[in-house]
Amino acid sequence: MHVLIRQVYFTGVQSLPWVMTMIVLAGATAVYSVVPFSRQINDPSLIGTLVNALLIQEMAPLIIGVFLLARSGVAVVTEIGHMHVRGEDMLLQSLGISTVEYLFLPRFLAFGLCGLILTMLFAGASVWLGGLMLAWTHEMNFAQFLLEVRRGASLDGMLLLTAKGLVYPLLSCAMLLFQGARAGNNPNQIPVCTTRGVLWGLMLMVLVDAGIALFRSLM
Amino acid sequence: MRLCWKAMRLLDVDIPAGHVLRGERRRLVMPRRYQFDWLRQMASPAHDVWLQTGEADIPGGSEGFSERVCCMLHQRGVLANLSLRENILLSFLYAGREAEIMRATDALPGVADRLDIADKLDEQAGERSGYMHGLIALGRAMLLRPDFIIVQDALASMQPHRQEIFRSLFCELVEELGAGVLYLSASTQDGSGLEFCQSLEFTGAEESL
Repeated sequence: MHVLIRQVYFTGVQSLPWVMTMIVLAGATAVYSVVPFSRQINDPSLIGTLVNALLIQEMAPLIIGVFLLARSGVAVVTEIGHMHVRGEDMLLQSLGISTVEYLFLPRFLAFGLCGLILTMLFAGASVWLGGLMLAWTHEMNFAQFLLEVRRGASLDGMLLLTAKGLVYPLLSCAMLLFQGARAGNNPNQIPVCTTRGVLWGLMLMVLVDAGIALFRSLM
Repeated sequence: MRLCWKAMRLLDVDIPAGHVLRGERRRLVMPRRYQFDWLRQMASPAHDVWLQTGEADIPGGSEGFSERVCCMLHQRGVLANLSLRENILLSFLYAGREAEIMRATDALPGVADRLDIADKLDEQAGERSGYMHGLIALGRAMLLRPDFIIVQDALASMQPHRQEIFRSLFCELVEELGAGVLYLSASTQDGSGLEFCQSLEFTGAEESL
């Protein structure tokens, strides 16, 4: 439990300033792209549809997934790799401590939990901050913007956001842990495994995202 | 009670089955790679190493085994990202039994004084000397009070004056606990300070590497 709390603090809490910055930037980018476009074609209902489809369902889980991969993922692979190189896994085994339970599970759970919470935070806060920015620059009334977003939202979309927010970080973490454990006792393998872990984690997320999009279009 | 192992093949060397009784000291002399292989077999699911008690056999690598058998591994005494205090208490913290944690935490200052590391307990372990790895493993054994201690080349890579301090602390502990010792060593001149009732020497093709 102590290790899990430490991992959640590192993966989730320490990420907050970065995530808040991305929320402001992504929220502004999304609303200032969507609102003028929907005005141009005289269809305000597009605001809700596009914000939900692009910002909430696509950008939020992918940006958080990539962010966790770049920030915590690199740390996970190098830490696990160094532990193998230093033979700390052997020490754990000699103490009767399961390496899966002590090393892998807390990091896996922390990625899943923090990924989900940060994705939800990103989705909610970016819409709110985007709306506030629109109101501040007199582009659109804040309440009207929220109403349009609410209209465009659906239960399916929220479930999809939840699933992506959970699955993307878990998939990438599984890949990172696998690569970290492959470093063996060769320190030169650590950067190789880190690069491989991050790239494959990213590829997995994008492939699953494409798979989901394809599946939904066929349904 | 005795610590037993099956006949096993380590790389290109056959090690015969054997055992250590409580209070006995035995030594297996073999190159370090073979020692690591022996230790890996200990934690393997094949249960090549086990503890024979009056009631039941306790397989190597299990929680019950590690409560009664303490390992002192060469240059593998600490987890770098924990403090020295957490490293010594690690097995207690992991088991999560409050009474045991309290007992170990209360006893820790005395153990740290004896090892002369009281002022370093809250430092992060990071990279440490072989001597510090040895001291932390010794501290763990002092708190755990095991029936058997498996030692892997504890004195190697220690400076001579530190070897002397470590040897004396280690021998005191073994006497105090009356524990059985299995000493894995790369050389018969290991300077462990222990009298072994049996010392088996193995050489293999890997020795020269």
